[in-house]
Amino acid sequence: MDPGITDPRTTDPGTTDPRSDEPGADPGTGGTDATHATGSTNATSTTNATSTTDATGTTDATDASVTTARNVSALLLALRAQRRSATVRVSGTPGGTIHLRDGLVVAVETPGAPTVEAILLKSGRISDAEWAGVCVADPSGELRGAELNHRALVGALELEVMCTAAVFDGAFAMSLSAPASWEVTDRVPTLSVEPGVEPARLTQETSRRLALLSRLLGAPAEAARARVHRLASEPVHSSRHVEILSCVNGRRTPRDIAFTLGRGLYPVLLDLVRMEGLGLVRRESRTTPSGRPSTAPRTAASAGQSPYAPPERGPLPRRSPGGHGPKSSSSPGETNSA
Amino acid sequence: MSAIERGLAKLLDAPGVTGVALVDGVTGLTYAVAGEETEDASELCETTALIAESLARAGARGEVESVIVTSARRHYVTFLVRRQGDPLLLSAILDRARTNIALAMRDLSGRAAEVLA
Repeated sequence: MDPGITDPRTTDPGTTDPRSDEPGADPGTGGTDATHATGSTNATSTTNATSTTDATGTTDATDASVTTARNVSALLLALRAQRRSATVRVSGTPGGTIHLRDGLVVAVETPGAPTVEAILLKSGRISDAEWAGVCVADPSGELRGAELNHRALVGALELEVMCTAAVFDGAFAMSLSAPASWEVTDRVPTLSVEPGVEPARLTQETSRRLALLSRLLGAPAEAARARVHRLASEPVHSSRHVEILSCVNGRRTPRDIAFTLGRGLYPVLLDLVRMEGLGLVRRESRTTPSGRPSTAPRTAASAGQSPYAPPERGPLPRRSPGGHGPKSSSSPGETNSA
Repeated sequence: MSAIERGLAKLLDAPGVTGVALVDGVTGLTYAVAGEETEDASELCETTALIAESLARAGARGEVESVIVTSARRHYVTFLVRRQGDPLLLSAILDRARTNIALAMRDLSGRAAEVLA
């Protein structure tokens, strides 16, 4: 488990950032590259990938805390201190994109958890045609929230709740694995929450979630990837549990269920914890592969001797001058007479 | 001020209400707080879920709508706000000396419905 967006101040071993020895995480081992046009913050592109210095750019001293950030949490705090409006692209599995306005986190998009758009569509709150109409009316993507309100598809308060929940859920999903690298680029329009979430609060909440799931399930990353099986029919009292059970087929993971229902990954995991306690479902315990598949030759049990068995004992074949090939000297001392 | 905070501020006008909070009913995430600080959101969420499950196992029919806990000086009221998606918890603290709990519940639920509509 690697919390990429967790509280760096926490002392809980289950929630601390263990990436200090990872490439890119430690400013001492990971290269940094910070280049941008002088006096312009819009042309900024900062990455923690292997160092390459742009001869045309000049390094801004105020970006030192950004370029030397040892993890995503520290990076977000540094960007908040600078009140930067930018987009942080985190590569990895699942990786994702963090949108900032004045340093506040306004949206998190990751393949590990449903975005607001996915939640709106999958949950059936709005139809594909309605969403397409919103996109056509706002091709830039900057005013999607206002357009949703204007068309009375989603209320302002409801949309704010959904966007806020998606920010925290996306951060949680991204924290389940170690980011490979990250890059700070220009801001990109997206459906976002206003005014945004303080990075410190985001890291604290993500750490709390990881700690809680670690206590309840063990490794949260494993729990998010484990297939879920339905158990014998116990009485189901909660409508949410009924919905989840309708998706459980032995192949879907909690992440799959979250995308299918249009719900967050973390709330689905919490519901599965309760359902496991009630005897409704069980998680598949995955065996960790020991390495590459075995390539050892198979031996027939009934055969007296393996076809791959070594030849009978004796000296190795020797080539003699004038001969046409090696001759097995099964009889020591015999010479090739041909 | 966000849209949620503006909505919650309106609830403070109800008689006896000293603090309100809007909390996610599954994750315990606090969306906004207005007035006096309410209970710990994650604990509130856990407690409400346990009450609902216990009542269901005990044979109670229907969904839980609200939970009221009364101390010597205050009423702690939690409304379960059903919606399409995960439910919300609207938590309110009421001054017991200035509140008729029956009237306050009626007034507060009506205002909450307006705000969260």
